[in-house]
Amino acid sequence: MREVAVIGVGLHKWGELWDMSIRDILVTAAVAALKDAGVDHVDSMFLGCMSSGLFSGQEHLASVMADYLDLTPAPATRVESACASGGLAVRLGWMEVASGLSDIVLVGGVEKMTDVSGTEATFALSTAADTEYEGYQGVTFPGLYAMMARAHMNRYGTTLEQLSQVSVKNHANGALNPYAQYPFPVTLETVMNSTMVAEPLRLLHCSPITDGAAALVLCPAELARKSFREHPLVVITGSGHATDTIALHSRADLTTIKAAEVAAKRAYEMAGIGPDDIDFAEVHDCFTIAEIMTTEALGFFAPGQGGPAAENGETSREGSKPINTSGGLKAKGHPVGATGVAQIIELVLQLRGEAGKRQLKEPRRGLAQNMGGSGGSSLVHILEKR
Amino acid sequence: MPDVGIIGWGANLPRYRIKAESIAVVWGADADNYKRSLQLFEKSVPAPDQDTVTLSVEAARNALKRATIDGSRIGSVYVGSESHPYAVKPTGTIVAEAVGATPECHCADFEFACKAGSEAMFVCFAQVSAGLIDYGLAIGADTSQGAPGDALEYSASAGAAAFIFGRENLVAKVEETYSYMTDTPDFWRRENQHYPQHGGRFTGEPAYFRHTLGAARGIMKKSGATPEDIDYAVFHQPNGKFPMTAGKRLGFPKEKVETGWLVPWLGNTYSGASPLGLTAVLDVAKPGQRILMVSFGSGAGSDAFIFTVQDRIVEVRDLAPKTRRQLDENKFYLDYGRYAKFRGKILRNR
Amino acid sequence: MKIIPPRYHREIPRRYRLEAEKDDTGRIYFPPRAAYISGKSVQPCRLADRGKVVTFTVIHTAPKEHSDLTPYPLGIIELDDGARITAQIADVDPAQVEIGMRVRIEFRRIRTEDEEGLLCYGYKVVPE
Repeated sequence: MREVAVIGVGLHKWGELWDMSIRDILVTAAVAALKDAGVDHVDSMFLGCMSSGLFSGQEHLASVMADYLDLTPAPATRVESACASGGLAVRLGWMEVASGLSDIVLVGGVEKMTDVSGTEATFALSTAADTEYEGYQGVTFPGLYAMMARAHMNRYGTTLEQLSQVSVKNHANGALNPYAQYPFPVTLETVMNSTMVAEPLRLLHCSPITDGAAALVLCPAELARKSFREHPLVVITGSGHATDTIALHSRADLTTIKAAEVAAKRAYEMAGIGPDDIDFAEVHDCFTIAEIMTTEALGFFAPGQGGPAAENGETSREGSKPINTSGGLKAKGHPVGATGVAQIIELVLQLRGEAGKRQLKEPRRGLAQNMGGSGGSSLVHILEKR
Repeated sequence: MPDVGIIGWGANLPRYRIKAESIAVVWGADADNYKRSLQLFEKSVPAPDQDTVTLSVEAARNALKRATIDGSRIGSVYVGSESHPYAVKPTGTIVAEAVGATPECHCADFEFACKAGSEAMFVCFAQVSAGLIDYGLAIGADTSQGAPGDALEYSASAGAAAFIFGRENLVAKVEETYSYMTDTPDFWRRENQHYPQHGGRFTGEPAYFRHTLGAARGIMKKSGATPEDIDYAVFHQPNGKFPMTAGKRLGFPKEKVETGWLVPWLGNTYSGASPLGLTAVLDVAKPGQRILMVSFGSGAGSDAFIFTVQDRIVEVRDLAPKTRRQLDENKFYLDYGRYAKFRGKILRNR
Repeated sequence: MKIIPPRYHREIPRRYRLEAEKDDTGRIYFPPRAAYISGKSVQPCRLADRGKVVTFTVIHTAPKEHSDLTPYPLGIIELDDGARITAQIADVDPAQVEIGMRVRIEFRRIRTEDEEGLLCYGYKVVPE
């Protein structure tokens, strides 16, 4: 397997993009990535998107992507793993380069969520859960994570304040991110008093509905050293992928995210490192409790210590383990299929030293954790600066 | 003829209630008057997720618990109601599936004013007596509505009673049956009308009393029983006053009528009314005692039964929730606004 | 997405009668899984009808089909045979729901497909 480098990244400002269609946002991000990489052709494309059918009435995105980028007849593959679609696209693009099948691979992620009503968007998202045994019963996504939160709070004493601090931190980071949907800070009081959605989770514990796309260009590290030297070399050293049961009620332990733990183990093993070797991470904070639980699952903090770590500032930019310097899903936005790709972009920008006001002090290794639904699937990638 | 009777009984009542005062204050009516003259204090209200089907299923499951048989042995399911959830599509089939009686099972929905439940009981009794089935499930259930501001709004309520008839392990043997029926149109609803019409005072003497008393006298004459021979009398209960008056006129002391008299706190459960009264009696009756039940449906007549309670009743009585307990405990009171929302009386933008 | 007859009908054995499968270790599969692939031997069974609340939430922002009942409590219930299901907790003041609360299964109408569609039934739980 060849070592794979990320030679180009493409993002745009996320939000409610009324004037842009799914094609428009996808093209914007992809073109930005291709330009950033300095390539004029691709051997293959991968695209993560959860639900373009339900959101835009448009499937067959493989053809749409190739067509609108004027890259036909290059092969294109659209993948889906609910909110982990982006991370899955990254993995498959990495696999195709690592295996030697392709040299230049474009990896994109996109979701256009505002061409349907709020109710329809909620329905589309609910298809990431067990339709007949959770959805039918009246469950919602905030409801599922709220149940995990309550179990975690009951077992470990995690507090509402700790959950809220995650939102405050991510907004503080997002305020420094020019691409974020909500680039402004929020206070603890505002978070704790926001509208109740599913007890105990309130509106500001939940990531938003967002239109957005993100893209990367991958190539073999050896080729990057020779021909793509504009940016510092950043390589993917670990990739891990795992599944768990579709329904939350089938999980063995409601206070952890097993799929993230297993995916991380596989990524650490491939990279030959452990959690302590990671300088910073982008994790899947679809709800604030998810950030707390994944930081534990990734081995950054002991089980039950994710809440105190957030409260004590260990996960802030100045802390021992900065989490979600991009603003996370909460402040940056969560266009479902794009999130996993955007996480990688934040790692790359930080490792390159191009993260602007959010820049950490010379990070060397970053981890991105992406997951689908209530934890039914998870992808973990580890990137290093060479 | 072998002994045939009830082998299991069950009731299901919603937990929500609304008081007469809460209705009266909205329409500017005199609550005390309703309470005094009609003996109606509060009534049950089905939650938005309850309907005739769900109440019937739970009542049937309770009956099965007491019958101590598996649902697959039921040969007929008949559900009598004036508020079947679908205008066209059976209720009985859903109930039969839920209790595991399908696919080898006869089934029909009965709609026959407030007498639909008791007629279902008679049909099951008849089928078991004829040896055509081993066990028959008869249900009287309703979630009927009264027009907003109408007198019926104080009484129209929700509940279900279920009885399993069989030949062995009886809890109450059927001694006698009787029916007294004429076409006396005192209550009706036309197609596409949301709420029913009623004949006002005409619903009293010529309707309720003629048929209730006619059936009661008829069955007692047929069986040779007198009020002294009967320990409990259960009558159809559209309000608190009518059944008490019926009992008095037939010569039953108040105490014999009280056990099955649920309406002042339950409301009128229509097809479930006298059947639910019967379940309350079965919850406490002793072996050897005799029960008279007389139903009445407006414009439909009256069915009558005389039961003799059997020894087995004490073994199975506690296997399911009792009716008075469901009526008196764990109640939630609603204000008129929530009641109107629950009962779909508020115009929505659909 | 509106539920139409075939999709509704095939779930009746599980939604109405809680039919499940059990393997030799007593582990319950609801709905059944292809556990036989890994060599397990499974038999049909029915779920227990009583259990306790393992975790729960109170839903304030509900999907369209359930919006009339908000705020409603919903939880993961562990039945007495070890099986876990997701179900609404009915007939209870949301503030009274606690982890460990004993509940039992009750047949309820789960959703209504608009003015002209199917009435969909299934299981909820109520306090014991």
